[in-house]
Amino acid sequence: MKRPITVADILNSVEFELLQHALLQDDVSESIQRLKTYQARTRVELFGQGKSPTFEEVVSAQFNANEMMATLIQVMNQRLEALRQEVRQAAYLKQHAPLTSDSLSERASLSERDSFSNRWPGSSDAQFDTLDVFARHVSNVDDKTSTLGALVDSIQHASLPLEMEVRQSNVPLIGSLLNRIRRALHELVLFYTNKVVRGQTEINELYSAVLQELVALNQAQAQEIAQLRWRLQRLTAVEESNDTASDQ
Amino acid sequence: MSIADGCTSCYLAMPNVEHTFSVIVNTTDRAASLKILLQALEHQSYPHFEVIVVVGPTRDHTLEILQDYDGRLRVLHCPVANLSVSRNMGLLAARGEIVAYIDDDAVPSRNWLLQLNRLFANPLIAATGGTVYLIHPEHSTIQHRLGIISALAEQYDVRTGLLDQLPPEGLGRFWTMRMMGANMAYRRNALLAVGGFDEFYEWVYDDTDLAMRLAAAGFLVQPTAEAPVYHVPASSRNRVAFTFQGRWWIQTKAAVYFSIRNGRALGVPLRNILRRIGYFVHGHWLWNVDLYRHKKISFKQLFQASMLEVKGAFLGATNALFRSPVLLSESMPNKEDPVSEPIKPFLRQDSALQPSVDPVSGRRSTVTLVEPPLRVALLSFNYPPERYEGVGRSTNMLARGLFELGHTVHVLTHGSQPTTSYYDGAYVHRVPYRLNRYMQFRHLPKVHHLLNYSHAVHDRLLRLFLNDDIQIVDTPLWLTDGFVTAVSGKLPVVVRPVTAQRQIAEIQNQRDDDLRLIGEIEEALLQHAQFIVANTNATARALHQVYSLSGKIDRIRVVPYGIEAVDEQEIRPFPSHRPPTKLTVLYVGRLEKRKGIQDLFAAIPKVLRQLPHVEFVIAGADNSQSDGFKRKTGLNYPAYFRKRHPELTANVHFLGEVSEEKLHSLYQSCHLFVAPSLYESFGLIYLEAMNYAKPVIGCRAGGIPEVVDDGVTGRLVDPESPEQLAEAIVTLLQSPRMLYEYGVAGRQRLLDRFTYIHMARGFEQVYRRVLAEAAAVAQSQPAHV
Repeated sequence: MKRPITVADILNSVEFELLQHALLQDDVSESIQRLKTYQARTRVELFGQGKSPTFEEVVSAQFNANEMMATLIQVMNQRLEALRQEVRQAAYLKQHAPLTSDSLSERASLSERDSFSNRWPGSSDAQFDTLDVFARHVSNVDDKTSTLGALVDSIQHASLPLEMEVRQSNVPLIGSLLNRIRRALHELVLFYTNKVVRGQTEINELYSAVLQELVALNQAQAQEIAQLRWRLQRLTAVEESNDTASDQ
Repeated sequence: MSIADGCTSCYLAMPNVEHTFSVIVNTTDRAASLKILLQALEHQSYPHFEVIVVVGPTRDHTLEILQDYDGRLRVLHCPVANLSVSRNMGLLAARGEIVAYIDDDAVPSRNWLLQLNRLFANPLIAATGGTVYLIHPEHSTIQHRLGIISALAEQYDVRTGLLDQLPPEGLGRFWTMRMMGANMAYRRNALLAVGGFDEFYEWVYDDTDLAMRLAAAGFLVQPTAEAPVYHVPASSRNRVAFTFQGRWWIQTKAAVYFSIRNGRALGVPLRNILRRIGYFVHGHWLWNVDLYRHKKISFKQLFQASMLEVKGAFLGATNALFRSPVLLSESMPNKEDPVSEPIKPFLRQDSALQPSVDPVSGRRSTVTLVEPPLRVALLSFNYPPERYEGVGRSTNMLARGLFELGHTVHVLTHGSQPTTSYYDGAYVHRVPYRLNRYMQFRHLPKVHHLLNYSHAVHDRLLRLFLNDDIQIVDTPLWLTDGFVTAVSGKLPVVVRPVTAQRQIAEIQNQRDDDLRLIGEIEEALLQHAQFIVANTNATARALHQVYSLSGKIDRIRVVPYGIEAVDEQEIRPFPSHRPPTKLTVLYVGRLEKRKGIQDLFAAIPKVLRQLPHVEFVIAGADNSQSDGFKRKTGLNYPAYFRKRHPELTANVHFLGEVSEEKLHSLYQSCHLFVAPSLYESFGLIYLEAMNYAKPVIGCRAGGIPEVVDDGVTGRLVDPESPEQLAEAIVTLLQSPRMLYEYGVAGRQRLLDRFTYIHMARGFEQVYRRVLAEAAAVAQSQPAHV
């Protein structure tokens, strides 16, 4: 009997969609498709039947394609940056789990921002915590590392080649011929599907490599901040003892 | 090292830079708009900026307004009405590393400068600008986002992403990204390097020309979809806002000049330039002819406009061909190295305590704030003025109340386009959604829609968080708009419960997977919420019964709904010494079982037997399809009543769904209000009747007894008891004195406890408490390394 859907399924789906949101590359893939279509159309226009293209037309088409590619790279670059933010944010939130209001802790960074907003007494010299609300909170990234491990596993699993069973035909006389044609067609489909899967896996591996690097970097930053804190505390202590000595 | 490695390292190494900004406002004869802008700038979250106002040959009270800001901003005087000259004057006076231009009739989002500063952290970017939302009384739209333009002034102003519309169709070449003058920012050095704005452009195309020249000179021009400003077009010497009246020929002049100068510089063939010029002039001609056909302009005006188009094209062409561009280096030779002096910050200590401002009317709260105003996002799938219903109305009242208390309010509601308007104290963001997520639930249409909409709302909330710095989200339990946000934990969520879906399903005896799951989603939302604000004790109790809220008891508070009290003049209680001869009983609400329409139908014949002169007016949409009545009887409610009691049709009037104005007149003209709902979490309809000093009859169910004071402002009867209902109606109608006294007492009760200001104050306390707790939690947590 089929298990009824529960709210746990819905919550899992929401979590998945939220995660997916950070990794979605829909418009990039759409743009790559558009670029390919444009190239194909332009090739037909320029080199197909009819009047030979002028040099200017060829160059113009080339510039357009370049423009698209440049923008595409730019956008992917931005995505990478967004991904970095997302990872840091996830690490931060993870750090404060299992607080029901993990958002509350996120608010903390906001309230800090508020407090700095209140702190500015119209002075441009005031310390300003810019752009990264999570920058001060360097996280424990162990959980993230294990998540990454799972991600890498799943990527490897996804890279296994697909196989497909071919149903045998029972038609008399031409049955074997039909079977051969069907098998050939299926192999063709499998060939292209596996090709796409391999491509996707490469991209996924690239992502996981970037993620791993980000996590490692986060760890390094955490250590650095710890050292800086320690040094600050030491310096403060030294300063205080000097003050006390001079007072005496 | 791979390419990816290189990119990542590059980004990670990017420092957090705090640039100093010079915000330049160019203004002429728009004192009212300028005042709003300056008030709005007080709310900027990024403190390191100065404001320079360049005033053109003004004839209004602009200078008086600027006197109020004496010492906080610099005022320059531009002798000519030329936008580019004015912009260049501001540029030369700027001491900030970045110059940000904003129109005097625009209002920036709170994080406008913060977001721009974030972009300029990339040292390669020389120019950027954000989205411009057009705030229009009827047709709000996105005016500019990630626009691109060609050397022949062909443009796409609104694109969904950086890759949208690429490669563009058109005659031109050298398509480049551009910003709109209402919202653009440049590195001062880059701007000076290309000579600032070409002063030939007295109005329009100054911004695009600059983007083109910057790009041609090798600077990176990269607008962003964030950092929005809200543009509320005001009239000027060049155009009358929201009309077709304007000196459009100046646009033609600028466009022709732009096309020839940039087209030639970038090698566009001459025939394409000529074709484009033809399009400009011809296009404006056609437009003028169209206006003439629709009798918007006279023949004389058509002729003059057409001639001016030719004149504009001629002036543009001759200047482009025979004159050099008027750039900064030639017109103002005293350009200096930037930032020789520090900026004079615009913000003061008390800026943080300034109340929110209405960007359209300039209205502000008169309340003196002792704490910084809040930034709240309210959710409601339906919202006035397009759609009136219970949750939408109460959300509207809450928004208005919060605004009156000085807070900034954003409302997210459903719409077909992602536009933003301003209505009744709140920015109203419309959220379209597609059913492209959660496909595994597509066989459950209600759940599928709910999740997809909630996710779309979440996406928009994140954008608001980024740009408008919202602090807290308030969602109704009804339709659970804020479900995904609550689950995500990105922002604190307060829930406003009304009648729970599980209760409704029980009352209406509906059982299916869709409704069951919606009940579970509601329960999950309540569990994830930081706080629950019920409108009555009954709502809180009922929620506790149907959903397990044992762990949330200390997170629930009761704040009654409130409405706006109408003026005394609009109330028409009949004189107690002269009772009316013909009495009207009003029912307002959907025609469905839960609202008690079946009990009213049963009571009406009993009443009319004793009081045959009474008229019943029934206003509300028929809902017999949803509650299963039609399936059972084959008829909708009005048809059923008419068939069952054909002799009473003259006394009972079914109006269907009515407009807001009509509803008010119905409340005004009735003598008794009846709504025998089997359950109401609150019952705004009773308040609305009390507002017009009308006695009310309701049921002892849900939150109704907390609104209607039995024996003081009306009568309460048992649910599903037509006899009691009929008796109460007859008793009240037979006693004009009681009708009068109950009505007046009801009005007083509303003024004492149920206005929207009372409501907003209650919610304000909850929001502050939630935020204070968040801050406390953050402080109590040890720094983890």
